Amino acid sequence: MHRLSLTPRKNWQHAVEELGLIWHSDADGPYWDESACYSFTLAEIEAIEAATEEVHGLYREAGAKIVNDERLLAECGVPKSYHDVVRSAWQAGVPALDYGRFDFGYNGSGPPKLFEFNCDTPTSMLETAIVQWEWKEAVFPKLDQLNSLHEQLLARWQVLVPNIPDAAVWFTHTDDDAHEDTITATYMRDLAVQAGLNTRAVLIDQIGIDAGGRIVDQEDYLITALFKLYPWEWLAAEEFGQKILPRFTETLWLEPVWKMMWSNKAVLAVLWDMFPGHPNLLASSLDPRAMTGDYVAKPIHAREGANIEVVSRGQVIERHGGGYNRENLLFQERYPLRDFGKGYPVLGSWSVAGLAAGLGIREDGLITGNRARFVPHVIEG
Amino acid sequence: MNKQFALTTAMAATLTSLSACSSGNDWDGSYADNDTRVCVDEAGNRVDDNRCNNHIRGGGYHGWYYVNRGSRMPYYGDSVNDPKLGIQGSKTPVAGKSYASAPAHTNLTRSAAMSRGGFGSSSRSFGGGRS
Repeated sequence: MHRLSLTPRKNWQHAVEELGLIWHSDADGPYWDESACYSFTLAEIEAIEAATEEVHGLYREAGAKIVNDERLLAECGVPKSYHDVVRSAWQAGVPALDYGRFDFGYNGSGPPKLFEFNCDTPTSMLETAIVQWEWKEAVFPKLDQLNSLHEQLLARWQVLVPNIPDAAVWFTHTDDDAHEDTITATYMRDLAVQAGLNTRAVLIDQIGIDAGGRIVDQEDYLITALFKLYPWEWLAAEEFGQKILPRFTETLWLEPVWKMMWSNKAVLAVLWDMFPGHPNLLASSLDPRAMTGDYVAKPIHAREGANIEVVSRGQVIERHGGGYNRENLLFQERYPLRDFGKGYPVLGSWSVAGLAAGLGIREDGLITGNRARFVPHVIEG
Repeated sequence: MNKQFALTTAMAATLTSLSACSSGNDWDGSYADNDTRVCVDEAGNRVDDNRCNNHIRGGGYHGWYYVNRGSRMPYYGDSVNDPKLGIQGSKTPVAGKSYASAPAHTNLTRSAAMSRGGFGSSSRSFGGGRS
C-alpha cells in the first residue's frame, strides 16, 4: 500500500459533476481529491476483502445474540418500545439490502482492524461505485480496482423485487444544502429503477401519518416500501417514532429496523466480548477502565467523526466537537494509523449481502470527520 | 465496464442549475399511455381491478371506468370525478376501442395525512442522515 501523487485531470470538476458528484468541493477545497491515489497489491486487496466478509459474519453472530438480550438491545441504543419490532424483523428475515461500509484501519501491514460499520445510512456510495471507477478508466485504464459495488447493489435490488409490494418503493432523505443526501438517495433509486421497481421520492419532513398510523407521501399515497437515508435512531426518537409502531409491518423498511443492533458503536464491545483477540477487531468496551493503552472514545450514536476523542498516554490529543450525546461512550483501542504524506487514510470497505463489494478511501486527521477527502485507489500487481 | 445510471445525473444537472432542492417525481409515468380501464366503486373511487373482474359479491357497486389515453391515471382511492385530479374518461367505452389494464406503477393507495413533519427534526440539529 502506497500513496501516489498525481496531477488532477484538467476540468476534473466538470468530469465528476457529470457523474452526479456535485459536492466535490467546498470553501475549504476539494472533497474529491485526485491529486493522489492509493495503490495496493492484489494480496493486500485480498486481505481487505477477506476481513470484510469475515467481520460481516461476526456481525451476524452478534445480531443473533443481541436480539435475545434486553440489556444488550438497550446498550446498543435501541429504545425499549422498539425491542419487539427489532426482534420480529430479525426473526422474520424481512427483506434487506444488507449493505454497508466497514471502516477499517490499515497501514499496509498486518490485518485490517475494524473501526465501525456504517450499515443504516452509509454514504460515499456514488464516489466509490461510479466516480472513482470512471477516474480509473480515464487515468489508469490498464489497472484494476476493488469495485463491484454498482453491480452488486443492482443485483441485490433484483433479488428483492418479488418481495416488494406492488413493486413500488419510496425514497426519502433530508433536503441537505450540499445535496449529498439527495444525490446518494437518488443513486440508490436509480439502481432500484434498473432492477424493475417503480419509485417515488419524498423528503423526510414531508412524510405524513394517517389516522391509522400508516405513513403517506406528500400526495397522501400510502408508503408500502421505504428506502430511507435517515437513521433509525432518529426516526425512533422523533414525533412519529411511536405513532408508526401499531402498523409498523405494513411498510417494508429499507434498511430494516434490526439494523439498529448493528448501526451503533456499542456493538463493537459486544463483538470484542464474543470474539476477544480476533485479528480484525480492536479491543472495545463500554468501561474506560478496560483500556490499558491509548484509546478512542466515541458516542454510541454519532456521525461523521463528531464528539470523538483520541486519548494517548492519558491525554486527549485530538477531539472533535458536535451535538451528540456523550453520556454513553464506547472505548476502543487506538489503531496506529499511518500518515502517507497528506493525512491518515481510513478504508471504507463495502459489503453487499455479506460479500466484499468495493473500496473507498477517505483521508483526514486522526479523526475522520466531515472534512475528510475522498482519494481514489488502484490495484497494481 | 460501463456502469449505467440516469436518474442520478439528471437530478445532479437539475440541482446544479437550481438553487432549491428538488425531490419531485418527474419521472413517474402517471399518465395513461393507452386507453385504459380501471375499476371504480359507486362513488367513483378507484379500487382493485379484481373487484370488477371477479364480480366479488357484497361491498356495493363496482364497475369499469374508461380513462382516455393521455389523461392522468387515478391511483387506488382517487375519485375519477374529482376535478382537481383532471381525470378524463367515461363510464361508457367508446365503440371499437380496446382498453388496457392500469399499469402496475399506478397501483398505489391513497389515504389522508392527519399530520406531517413528524420525521426530520433530528437532521435540523445534526445535519444530514449520512454516515
